[in-house]
Amino acid sequence: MGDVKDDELTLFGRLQRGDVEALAGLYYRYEGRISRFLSRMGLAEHERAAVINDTMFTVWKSAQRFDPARSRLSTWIFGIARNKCRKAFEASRPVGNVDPEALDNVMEWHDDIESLETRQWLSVGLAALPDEQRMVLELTFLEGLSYAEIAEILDCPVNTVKTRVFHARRKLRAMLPEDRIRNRLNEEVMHERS
Amino acid sequence: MNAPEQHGEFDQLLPLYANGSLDAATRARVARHLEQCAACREELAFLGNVRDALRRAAAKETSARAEGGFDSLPAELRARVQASAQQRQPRLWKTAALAASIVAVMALGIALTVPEEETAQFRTATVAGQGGDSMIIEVRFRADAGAQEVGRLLREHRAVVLRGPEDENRWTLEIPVNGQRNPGDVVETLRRNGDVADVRLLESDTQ
Repeated sequence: MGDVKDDELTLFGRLQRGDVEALAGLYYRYEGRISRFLSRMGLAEHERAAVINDTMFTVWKSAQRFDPARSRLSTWIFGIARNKCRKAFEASRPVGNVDPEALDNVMEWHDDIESLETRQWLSVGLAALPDEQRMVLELTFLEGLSYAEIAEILDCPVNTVKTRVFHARRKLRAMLPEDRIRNRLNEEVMHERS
Repeated sequence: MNAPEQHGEFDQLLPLYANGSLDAATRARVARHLEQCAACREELAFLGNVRDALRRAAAKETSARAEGGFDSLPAELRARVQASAQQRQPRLWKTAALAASIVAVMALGIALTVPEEETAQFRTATVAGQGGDSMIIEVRFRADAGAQEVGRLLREHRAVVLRGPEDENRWTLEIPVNGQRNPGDVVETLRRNGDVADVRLLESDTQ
């Protein structure tokens, strides 16, 4: 991971000196990541390419403003993407996040697939998480960011990030077969007791 | 053994332990807790599964796209970057001119406060890579005009010293015009300056 960061900072140093090929290098390192981030922000697919372009242009134009002592490069770039995304929302009608109740619906729907492997359960669970919860998991596990850095990107309190991670973990846990069986048994016992 | 409330704190730190973003001291504390807490070890393994699932999903979502150079970027982004790069040139020039002016003023300050024989090295201050409309003038300042007066005029007209100081406190300056000012008007303005004895237009590329 350190090598990747060093590589990005080297590219960014060239970009700061006006090397457009370095911009291309950064673009291809971030395009997919920003697209996923925008998706979790609730931005419609057909609007993402323009916002990515806008983000990378700002990275190019404002490169001198980035201070590596203040934040990571990825935190800075995702922060720009978040601002661009909000502007895109203001320009058009925002697309809402996934309904928080979706997880429950998916669980009902998949009630007969308890035999699936844990990874498949997780896949189902992740797909059903509200975007805001999945986003903090992705920024944590795919980008390796701290809660403070995620809060900076999302422009929200650190506690909001912690709460989202907490709920995401709890919901994913509840999707696991063994947890579901345990929960169901407990429910039965509780029902018999009452 | 950790108290239950501490267990909650460690549980919250597990995702950051897993992604390597904790500072060394906190990481060591969590590691010590993990040694004695089976529930946290099991949760950490679960978070590892979550991370793997996220990676698999991300790999599926990101379409395999060959990485290319600047020419392979979206046309809209390329056009904006190219336009921006073109706009940068004059800005770089302005920065260079300002820096040269500052150097010239500093040199002037030293030149006017040290004996004449020591000022030779400051007599020629040329600027390379000039662009845009500009005029070259020779300004003869009054004998009592010092560094402060000359520096003020340089800043006022964003002038760059090409040569000087020479005999009779004469300076050759390059002044940007950029189509906004008439060279004749600039000369007249300079002549009205109380610190200036004479002005001579040497060259103008604004025609």
